[in-house]
Amino acid sequence: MKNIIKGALLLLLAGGVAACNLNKYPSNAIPADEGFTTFKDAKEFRNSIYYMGRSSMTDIISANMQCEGINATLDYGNSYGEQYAWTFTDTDSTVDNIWTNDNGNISQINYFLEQCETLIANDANLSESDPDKMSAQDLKDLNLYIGEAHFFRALLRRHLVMYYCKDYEPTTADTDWGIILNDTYNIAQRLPRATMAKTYEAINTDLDLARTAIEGYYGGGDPAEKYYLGSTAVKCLTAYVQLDMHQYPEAAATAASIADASKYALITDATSFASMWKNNEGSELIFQFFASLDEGSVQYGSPFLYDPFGDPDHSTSLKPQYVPAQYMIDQYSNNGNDAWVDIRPSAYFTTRTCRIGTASVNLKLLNKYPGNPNYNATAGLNSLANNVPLYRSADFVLLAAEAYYRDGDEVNANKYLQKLREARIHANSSSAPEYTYTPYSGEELFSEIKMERLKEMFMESNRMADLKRWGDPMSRLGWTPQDESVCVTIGMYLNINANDYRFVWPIPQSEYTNNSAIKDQLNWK
Amino acid sequence: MRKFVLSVFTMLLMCFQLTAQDQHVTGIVTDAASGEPIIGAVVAVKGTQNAFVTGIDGDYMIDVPANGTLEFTYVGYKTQEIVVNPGQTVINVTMAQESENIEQVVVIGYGSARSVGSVTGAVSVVNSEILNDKPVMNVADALSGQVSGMSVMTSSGEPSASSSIRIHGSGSISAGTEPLYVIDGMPSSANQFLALSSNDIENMVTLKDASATSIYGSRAANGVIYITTKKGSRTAQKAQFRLSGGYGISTPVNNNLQQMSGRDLLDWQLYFNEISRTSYDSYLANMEMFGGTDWFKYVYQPAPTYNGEFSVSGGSENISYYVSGSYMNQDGIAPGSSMERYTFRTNLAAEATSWMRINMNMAISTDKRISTQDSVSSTQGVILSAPNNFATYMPSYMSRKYLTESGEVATYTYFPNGMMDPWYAMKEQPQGGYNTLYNGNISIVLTPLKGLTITSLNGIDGAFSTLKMSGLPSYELSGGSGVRGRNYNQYRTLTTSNTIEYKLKPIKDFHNLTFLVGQEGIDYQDDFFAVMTTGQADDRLMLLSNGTNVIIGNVSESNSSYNMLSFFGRVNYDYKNKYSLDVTVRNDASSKFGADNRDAFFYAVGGMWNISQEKFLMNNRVLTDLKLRATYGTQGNSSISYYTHLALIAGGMNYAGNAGRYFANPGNSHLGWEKQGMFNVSLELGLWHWLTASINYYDRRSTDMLFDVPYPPSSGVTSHAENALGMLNRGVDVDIAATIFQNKDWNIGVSTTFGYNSNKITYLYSTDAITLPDQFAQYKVGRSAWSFYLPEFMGVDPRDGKPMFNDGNGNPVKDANLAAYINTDKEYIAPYYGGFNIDVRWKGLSLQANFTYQLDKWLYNGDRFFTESTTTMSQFQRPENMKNIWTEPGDITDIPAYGETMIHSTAYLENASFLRLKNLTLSYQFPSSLLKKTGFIQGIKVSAIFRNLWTLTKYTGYDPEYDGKSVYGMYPNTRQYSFSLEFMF
Repeated sequence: MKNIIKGALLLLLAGGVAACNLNKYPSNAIPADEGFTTFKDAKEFRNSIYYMGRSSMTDIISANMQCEGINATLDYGNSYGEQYAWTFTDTDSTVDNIWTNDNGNISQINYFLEQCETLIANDANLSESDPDKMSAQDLKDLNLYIGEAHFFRALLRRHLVMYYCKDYEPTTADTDWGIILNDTYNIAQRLPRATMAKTYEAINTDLDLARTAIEGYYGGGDPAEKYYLGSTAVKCLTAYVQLDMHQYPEAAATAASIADASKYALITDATSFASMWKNNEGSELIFQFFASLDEGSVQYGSPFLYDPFGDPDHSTSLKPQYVPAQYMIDQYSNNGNDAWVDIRPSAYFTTRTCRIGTASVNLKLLNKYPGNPNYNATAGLNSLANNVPLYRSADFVLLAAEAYYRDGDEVNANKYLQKLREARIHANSSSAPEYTYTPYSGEELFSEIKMERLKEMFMESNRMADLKRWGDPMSRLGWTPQDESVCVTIGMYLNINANDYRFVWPIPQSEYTNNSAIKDQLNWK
Repeated sequence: MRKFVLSVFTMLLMCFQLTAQDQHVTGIVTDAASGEPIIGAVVAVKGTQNAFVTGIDGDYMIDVPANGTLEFTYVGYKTQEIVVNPGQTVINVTMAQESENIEQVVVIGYGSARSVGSVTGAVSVVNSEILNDKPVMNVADALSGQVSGMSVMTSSGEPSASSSIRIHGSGSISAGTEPLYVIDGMPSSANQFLALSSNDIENMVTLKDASATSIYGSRAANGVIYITTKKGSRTAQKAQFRLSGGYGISTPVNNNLQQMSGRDLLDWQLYFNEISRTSYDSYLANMEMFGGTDWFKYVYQPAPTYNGEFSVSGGSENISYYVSGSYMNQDGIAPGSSMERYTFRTNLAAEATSWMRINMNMAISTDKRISTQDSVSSTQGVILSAPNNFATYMPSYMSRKYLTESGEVATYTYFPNGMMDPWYAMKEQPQGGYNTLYNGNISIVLTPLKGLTITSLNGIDGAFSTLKMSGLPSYELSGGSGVRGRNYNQYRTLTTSNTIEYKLKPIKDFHNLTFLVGQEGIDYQDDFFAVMTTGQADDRLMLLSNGTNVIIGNVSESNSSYNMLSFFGRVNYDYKNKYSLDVTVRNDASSKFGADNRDAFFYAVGGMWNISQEKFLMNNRVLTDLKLRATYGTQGNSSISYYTHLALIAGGMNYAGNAGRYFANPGNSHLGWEKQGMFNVSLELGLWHWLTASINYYDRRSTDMLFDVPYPPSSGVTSHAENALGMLNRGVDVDIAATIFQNKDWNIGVSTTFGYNSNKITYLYSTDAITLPDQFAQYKVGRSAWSFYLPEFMGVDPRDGKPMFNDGNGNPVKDANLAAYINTDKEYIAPYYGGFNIDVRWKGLSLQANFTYQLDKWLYNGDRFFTESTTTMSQFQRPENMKNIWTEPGDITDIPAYGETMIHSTAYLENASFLRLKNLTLSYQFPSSLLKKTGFIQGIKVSAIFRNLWTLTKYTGYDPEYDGKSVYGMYPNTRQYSFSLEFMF
């Protein structure tokens, strides 16, 4: 009998492991209804919104691979090949990723804004003694975060416009297709594209809210850390939006106010200028996303300075996938005037020994993203990682010049072009004469502004958006490579007319196969 | 939980009423014709799981309850039942051969063993002979073509590779399609099944229809494979030893991809300006001095396999045992791939008291595996794609010689295209893992009353594995800085399963009724973490702690768990062995599903009519056996991720060193079980005592199928888990087996299995079609879920060399953006499959050939898509057919002009149907008369086993036995030549 009891106890013990609790939760997440209930939760969500903004703005290189000034080497391995040769389709991964990431991030912002509303409403009902009750400072901070979220939504929407929409034309904005405007978090939504007019209206609404909140919080100034948004960053996006919408006087005024801010003065010496690219610091920088070894640095330099042996700083056999065209490099020569020297080419380009195929060749390589030593995964080994830049003042000096020109104010257009050139071009030696600017007029002035923009913002700003704004073709005709024998012939002298349909990217297949509301609004079909 | 406690108490109460006393019976089973002992006959106590196999002298020993019935069965012999009289201790039995009754006793889940012929469900038994001694780790491979309606494919030649198994087609799109594995009564992981030493397996029973599977409920939708391992017999006389060993060689199966020669490739690349003239001259000079390389041969080299096993089985009065150990060591044909495995198994059964038996089955295995896929960096791509990518004009790294531009011979560093020699890359980036798997269960069987059996089976199934990956600082591409990664993973499932079976005393001797009720609880947990550090400076100091940096992105951890609680029951009714009826019910509740849909109820009804027992067929000389079976039942599929139904906010996406959080999953509280209803009808017949055939028709309807429905990115997500669609699999399986010729010395048999399955989507929940062009798939009502959805390639325009595609109306368009996707009606899961076996025996010599085939199977040849593309690949190796590239107007070819973009299209869709000689076994058993002289050796067997020796296919890639949609850079399947020697004493 004793044994029977023992046996039965054994069974009972074994049975004790049997499943009882059928409510199981993962260890890496919180049930949604418990995950956004306090100010602290909102603050953490704000960090992720910056993170998402950063992840959406890492397209610097691919956006410029479609344009002039760069050649694919024989070793490019088809990296960025669809962009470089303009052979992408609506299933291209870059075409799909930008659409998917931006839309996904906008949807997270929508969720954040809705939850903040609930949070504020619930907070009003809490008694003063409640530990979760927000303090006055909390509420002020929360208001800032909401403003920042509106900024990012505007930023991402304009970012989508740059790729998937025609350039904004006031006369046709009511009929041209813009983007899909999702204002609420609802995955069941299947919306058609809004018009360009509605799209920009939404962007401006967000910008207004962002401006009120951010300027209000900082009293019109900027935060100490350049990786948080301030009043100037809002102005930067505003200037772009105004220029897009052909609001030239407003765009000129906004851009000029940034260009004239002494806090963001242009760098005039070669050492500081080079340091801006290497160390991601300098007075010109208005806003750049935070980067560190653990989060968020991007290897922008790797298509240009790739070393198979892992040490690009000391290699004598670099294997660049893309090299600047000779014609591009020549643009910095001041039309052959040896008395002057431009500080940009020494920072932007570096001559290195490369091995393309088996051939050992000396080539000038793009050095604008040379790798910040703070972000090296291993000390002494260059990871070619840099911050994600967003706004620096030179951009807006040139935007001011362009806006004034468009507004018919050639005097001010010349003033800002001159401002930039005088910061970049200097006497070659102490005995040489200082740089002198000769004003331009008419078409020549515009083309000088455009070329200056390419030179200054090479592989940095979205040149495709510039070309669309200007209505210019993308033509590599005449853009002589450094060494034709080490470059692929496909795309070398590609010429794309300004009215080519490919200037507007296709709506990705992943969208239109699952959203019938958009079926008559595809760009390519 | 309360219900469970109650059931345990019920069992407890029953324990107190135990009264009956068992008696001990021994005896010898002999052949009625020859008088020779029958080895391996099954002696079972009717109505219990208590069954033993006769030893080498035909001897057995078994405990029988008073007035119990002993059932003697042996393949090809007539089953005998003998009622044990009180006091009777010796029962010798002579068995008569009778080919009409080639039946076998099997355990099919929760309850007593039954003879195959009396089961109402469709089951197929594969015996140890087919499975033992195969030269691969993966025991499933040998099942290929053996079971009608079951498709088994091995996609990779990696020694640690597993096989994919489908029974009656594939019943799910995004949930699991693996059958449930039950090892000695305990549901176990697929890994555990793979860790079995094939020589430990007594038999494998495939449960194919609802009547057999529904009792496994929510895990049974894909069928059940029930594995019974070998057991000892309680003949006290002597233990039986078995010792065997083998040696084999693996080589790749045929590579049908023809590469351009080095010289041709150089000319081709220069012509299209992929390489400069300087490079051309340099490559040519190198090739002429050092020779080129056949990269396929270089990368995939013959590799050895060793294996050794021992087992001891036997027993004494109250104990029977089977103990075994095995060792297997298989090198992969690719660099950095191997597996070494040890397994140990102990199966014990103890008659603790006359009313209590304790069974213990314990298995542990540990392996060290290195698989090419696990590498710390991107070497996987380098190794597996090397034969496609590396130019044949390049000298291999082994020579380490290189001609510089100035004509001097220098030491080689790396390939001009920046790639590394695969063998060197693996040597410098060593990685390996250890996996230890344990699977054990103890079952306590109480037989307190005649006909009543109470069983409690409690077990653990688990594993822990570690992986170490290094990139040595001496690696030429490391910049002198090492990298070290470690992964640790462990999981375990606790199972308790408690059943009460009661077999009523036959009413009027004709009506037999058996009842079963049971409860099962499952508790699963897993843990994982991975860490990586960098900056190691010395190849000999490669620990994590030798690194100088750790990045938070390289640290990860995850834990997950699920629970399941089930209740089930079964009633079996049998009348005169003529009519049989099974009714099964089960209820499962699982934490994997939303609160609204947590419980699921399953049932099955099955009937059998043994027509040959009817008067009009009794003693018919032609039609010796005729049975009709029909079953219908429901099952579920719960092989999905554990938390999909929950709306979740996750941590992560940090900014500026501050923790972030984001809305990770919108959740779906309505998410429910994937359900299945299955109807089977089968006819089984025996003719002239030498031919058996069965034909089975099935209709398998999956409903509420789980699917990550693609959402437009503008909605905020790209997909959402829903119970989105329904699917129908319908088909026929046929089994035919015949003994062609038989006499004293000869036995020639053939058998064949054939399966046909047609698949179609029956409904979509919220849309007309789910389209996933990037997966070449469109799910649409009336169409097969496995059919390729691709633009149709219409050739190359001879005038301009541009590729042409169907615009959807049958007209060619040259703009890839205007190419229409079409449903090709070509499926990647073959609708026709099966196999055939030839078995020839002459005295001690035997030859077995097992063929397997898949017909109308299609595969997207991704190797060709990449190697033939002139826009996505440049400066790489090219296949021979690229010489046909369009170069001038008038060229008639399928290869478009250089620089033309080729999109994924039917141009690369190939027929991958195949017929394969899976295993060819030639063995010789030494005659016992000769061995008797040794005094102790009872058997010696030598065998030669050849795996994948011969294949017939039109597919132009590596191997058609790849189970998937598209293939690129796969690890080719292997062919094995193996020899083994076996001793019994």
